[in-house]
Amino acid sequence: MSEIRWRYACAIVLSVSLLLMGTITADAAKKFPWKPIRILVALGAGGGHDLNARAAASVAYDYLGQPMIVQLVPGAGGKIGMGILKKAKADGHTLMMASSSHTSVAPHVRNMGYEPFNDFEYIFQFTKADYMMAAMASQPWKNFKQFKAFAKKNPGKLSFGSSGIYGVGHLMLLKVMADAGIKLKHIPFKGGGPAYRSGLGGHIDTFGALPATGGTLGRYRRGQIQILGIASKKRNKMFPKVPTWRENGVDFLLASKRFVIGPKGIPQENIDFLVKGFNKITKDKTYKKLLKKMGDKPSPLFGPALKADIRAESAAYGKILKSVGITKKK
Amino acid sequence: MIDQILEGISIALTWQAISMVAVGIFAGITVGAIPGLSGVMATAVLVPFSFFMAPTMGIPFLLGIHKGSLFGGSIPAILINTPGTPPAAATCLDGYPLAQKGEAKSAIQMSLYSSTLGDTFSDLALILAAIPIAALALKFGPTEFFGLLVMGLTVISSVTGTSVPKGVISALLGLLIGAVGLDAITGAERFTFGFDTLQGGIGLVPLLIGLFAISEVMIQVEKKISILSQKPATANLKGGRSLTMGEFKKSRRTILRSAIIGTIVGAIPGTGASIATFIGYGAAKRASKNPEEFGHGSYEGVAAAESANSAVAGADLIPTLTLGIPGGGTAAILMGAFIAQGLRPGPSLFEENGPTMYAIFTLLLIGNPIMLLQGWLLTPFFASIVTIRQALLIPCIILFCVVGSYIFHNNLGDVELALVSGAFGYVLRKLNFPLAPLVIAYIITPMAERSFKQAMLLSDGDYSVFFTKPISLFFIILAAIILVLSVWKQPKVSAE
Repeated sequence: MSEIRWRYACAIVLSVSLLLMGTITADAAKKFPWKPIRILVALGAGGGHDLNARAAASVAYDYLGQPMIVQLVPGAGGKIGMGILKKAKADGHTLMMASSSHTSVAPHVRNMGYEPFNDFEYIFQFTKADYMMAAMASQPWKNFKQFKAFAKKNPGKLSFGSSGIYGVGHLMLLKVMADAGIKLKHIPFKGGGPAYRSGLGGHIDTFGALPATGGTLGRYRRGQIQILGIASKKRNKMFPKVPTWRENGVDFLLASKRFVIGPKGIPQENIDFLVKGFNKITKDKTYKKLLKKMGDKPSPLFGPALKADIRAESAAYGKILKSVGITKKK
Repeated sequence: MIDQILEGISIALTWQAISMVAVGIFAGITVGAIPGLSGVMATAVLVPFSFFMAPTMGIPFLLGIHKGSLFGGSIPAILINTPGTPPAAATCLDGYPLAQKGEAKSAIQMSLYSSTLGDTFSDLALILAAIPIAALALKFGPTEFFGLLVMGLTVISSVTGTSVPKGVISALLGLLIGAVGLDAITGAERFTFGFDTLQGGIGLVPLLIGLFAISEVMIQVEKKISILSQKPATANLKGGRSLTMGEFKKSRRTILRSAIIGTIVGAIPGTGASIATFIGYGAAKRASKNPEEFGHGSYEGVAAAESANSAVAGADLIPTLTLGIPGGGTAAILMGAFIAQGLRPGPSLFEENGPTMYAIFTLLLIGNPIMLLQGWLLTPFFASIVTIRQALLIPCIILFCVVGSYIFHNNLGDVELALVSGAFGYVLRKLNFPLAPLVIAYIITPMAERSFKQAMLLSDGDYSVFFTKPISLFFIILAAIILVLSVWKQPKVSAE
């Protein structure tokens, strides 16, 4: 081995380590935010949360004065990402685009290693979409009443495809079955997309849908699909003929939400700064255009109202799970 | 559909996307030109870095590596008689004699032109094959998918290598690794032994980095001596002449023939560039007017080998993208990259991600002239790295392996997993177990299991649905035929 080659090798190693060190700068007492804001996503790439976080990040610099960097930390049903967030420095530079599955469902079912309402700050809700149950229009039943009657006559014959076990769709199914006194087959898929397509292909009888994703509105207007119920308090303006679950006699009110949380203990002024900046993001033209492309619209909620909302959601999910005998395994 | 294609083209035609392809191709040729670094290894190591890019940049970047490495492998094959990547072995036969005659430069040019043309041909074949399959997307429910995946598992029978029992054991290990994690239907933990990292299953990236890169490093280190201590005289481009138009014209038919052979062989799951190259070379020799020149410095020979192996680049993706069945190591890695970017290979890929996929295809085609340009301008650089020392390379590769498996999920557990997989891969390779069956089984198992269970839930446990539904029956019959054929006539050549 020649001497010169060794010197090259040493030089490379040295310069790489210098580069790495250069990125670690001291957090001086500067005005928040003094470095890029990391926004974690504990779900897969290309999913709704990832895309939403990226949409917000694309305009964040204009309103926060620092870039927002999306970082995916999926795995173990959110346990890994939520664990990283819990341990992160509570200065507002590490946040998460959180999902109800991780704050409000999973802790009822599995030991996740965090307390959803003690370990995190609830900062800002970006979007919210009401969950619906869809079916092909060609089915013999044309509304929830007929569907219920058919299901009662044929217990366990009809199927429902969900986005996955203990997802919002699964919980909706559990609640529909309990309150309507019917029995359906639950077919969990890996994500809402495959379930939706399996429904369109006629492989399953009913499936979850969101008002604006997957071309639902267009398919509904063309008479390709029917919607049996929607999980909102009032009827949706885009689907004025679709009854709410409460009208159908099912007490289910939950939605698919994307909201930002952070580790417990972020200084209040930093939270206020973020809320102000996020609010401006939801009014940004580019952001709104990106959301529209995904079929979402901004639905800002923050402060104590957000935490209370998620808490109520968690309690409702817990009740549903308990009523069907699903409790936490230790 | 036309508007989706146009949207795809408009996504593709940005300087960022095109420069990512160029970077990928540059990295690919570089890796290919360095003996000991293979395209599979480079793709495995660089997959995690593609996650930081939009799908329309990250995927073309990786495809660029795949393309570039197939051409790059011919450079050391011609200059120093050492194939840079396994498929370039046939290029040595005629490339090195040409270099000895002082015609290294024109030989590399011939390799560049035939690689580019072969690659373009197979990219077009991929695009033509993929679009009609998209029309069938909605016909695939759980039952049909299971039928398809059963056929996918039988593909393993053709990549078992020389020893069938070893291939089967390797596939079974892959099956077992694929079963780790949360049960798809009940959410119960399986084989996690209490490790949080394992709850989400064994990650594709750490597994691949371990199996293909870390184990390779261990094998290289074990050799101790680097291949070359002194630059051979042939590793020199100076004074060489350029390829003449006449020489190129004489090889036109050979290039086309090899492109067709490479595309067909590449599209069959379980076969790879190495097989395509030897078939293409053999066919060229039989058809040639001057077969006696083959092996003694025939430009036709170089063209035949290079066109065939580069034609695999696009064709490899036909079963991978349209059916979700990876045909071999590199295809499996690329499929993992698609999945990680939220693009689920299979019949519904185009239904779900039309514009993105058309953008990727556009970039795949744009990559060919870029490769030609880089080959023209940078050949002296690529020729100079052919004799780079392993002692400099290996530490860099290890750095990439560790960083890559960490940034996959920003989880140190994945680095541990990659190191364990590396040791595991080393043992398997030392004992001559093929890795391809393991990886293919690992990727197919979770999908097959989920489809199977979904189909069972839907049919109330009636197994006959797989035989009463026409699409699933079709695939199961096909699977049976493949199985019978592979038992009846065990192929002698193994896929890489």
